[in-house]
Amino acid sequence: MGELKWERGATPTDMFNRLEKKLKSKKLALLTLLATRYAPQAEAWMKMNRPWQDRTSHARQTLHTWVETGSGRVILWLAHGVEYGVNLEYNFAGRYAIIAPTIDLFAPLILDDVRAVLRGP
Amino acid sequence: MAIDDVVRTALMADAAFAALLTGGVYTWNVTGKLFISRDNSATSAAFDANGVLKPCCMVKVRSATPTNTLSDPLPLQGERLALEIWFYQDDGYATIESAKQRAFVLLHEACLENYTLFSNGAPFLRTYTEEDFGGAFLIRADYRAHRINRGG
Repeated sequence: MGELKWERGATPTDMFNRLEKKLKSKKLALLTLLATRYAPQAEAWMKMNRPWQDRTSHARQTLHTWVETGSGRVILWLAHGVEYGVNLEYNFAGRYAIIAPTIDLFAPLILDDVRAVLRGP
Repeated sequence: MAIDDVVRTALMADAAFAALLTGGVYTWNVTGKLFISRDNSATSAAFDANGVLKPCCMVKVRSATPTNTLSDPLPLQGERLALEIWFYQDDGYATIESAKQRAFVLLHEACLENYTLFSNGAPFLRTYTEEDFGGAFLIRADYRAHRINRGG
């Protein structure tokens, strides 16, 4: 985690805040790595397990994931790339939905790893 | 009986809920692949004499996922599944909003067929309409159902 020196004149509160900041940035970097590792797996799983029959293959090919970080958060996005992706998700009571089932499968796995990261070595 | 059918039975058994959703409560087991449709004889009650959709709902269950929060030397394993209730109304939200609230009273923290249900709230779907019903309004309420499977 690098060295944290007690500087002259620093109060215990200052030191605690600096330590907290360091810990947070390290954990966030680890969580970003974790999300980056899961993103391609989730994308591959979505493409393989889509519940619809391909016609043009555009819907399958444009399923994608990306990781966004900032403001102390790590977000793993799962998304459609076609305009009618919303219809696939919501029409017929979500009969052709793929996003939610992917979350069902991956969320427990990711959360287990997140717990391990937050717990530390 | 599958959990979606159990929930359907529980909802239909409630007089207040049934009075609101005059079009009925459905599951995929009831509708088959035709879904709620004028062409589907199993869902004819969902439409009035003019073919306009009456307030109704569809109970849908997604696949179960194991929960790893239980750790026990005995062959026990937790299971969780997502349950979606899709409420449809031809025009406006008034009836299905009341039905959604009634469903919450009936289902949240209820124990049905070894499952305990918890509300997950409702995703924000109000900007979306079901085109296949001529732009019917919809609300979705999500629940999660937990149970412990006792292995062999």
